[in-house]
Amino acid sequence: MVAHPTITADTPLDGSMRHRTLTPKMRRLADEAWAIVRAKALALGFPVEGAYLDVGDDLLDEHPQAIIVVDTAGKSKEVFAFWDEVEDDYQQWAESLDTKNREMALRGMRLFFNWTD
Amino acid sequence: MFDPERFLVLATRLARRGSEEEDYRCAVSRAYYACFLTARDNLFGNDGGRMQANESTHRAVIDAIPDARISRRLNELRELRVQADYYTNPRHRRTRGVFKRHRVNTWAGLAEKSLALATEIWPALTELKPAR
Repeated sequence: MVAHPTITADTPLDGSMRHRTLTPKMRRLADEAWAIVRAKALALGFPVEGAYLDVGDDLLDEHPQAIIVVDTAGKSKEVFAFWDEVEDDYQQWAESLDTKNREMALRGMRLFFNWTD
Repeated sequence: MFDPERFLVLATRLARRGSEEEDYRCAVSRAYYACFLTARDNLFGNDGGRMQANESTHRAVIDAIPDARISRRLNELRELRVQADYYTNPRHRRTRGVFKRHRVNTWAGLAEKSLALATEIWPALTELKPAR
């Protein structure tokens, strides 16, 4: 893998999407989660190109869910491995939050990483 | 007994040799069901015989997979399958969102993404042990 991350430590999450799910509190949590992804990508030299906020549905299509979509230049195998590493950090971060924010981070929001192949 | 892996073989054939949107949509759907049925039967017995009658089958199976990484990927695949089977308007917010998220413009592209997810989790699904 050629390690050329295109983000910097200051690259923001594109939160331009408007949706009732994306409350100020949710956006703040998403920014924190994006900081985790960004730090991991920079530390490992993983080719993350940017990220934006989107809205999808939860497991039963019952509730809208914020999705942090991470654009990468990685192949599927590399991306899946990186995704798993980030999820471990994400879980740790979520567990450190108070009950209400933890619920939002674990049920109301998720990460998604795309891949190139 | 029907082997759900044959759905994965079909999905691959449709994704690689297909030419029409319906081929690629079916590839997405079959890739998911190959994975889902394998997980369900390994976790809850043939045809899900040990499942509670009142529980949502898809949720129960995805929740019962002990490895969160595999569970997450099956859920992503499930979302693509819902898109493929239920949404016909290409301008629907949800459809546009899924295509953008995966950075593809065609159903052929989405079929390839589905196969990548399915083949990634397939070995782990075939090794799942009974849930209860």
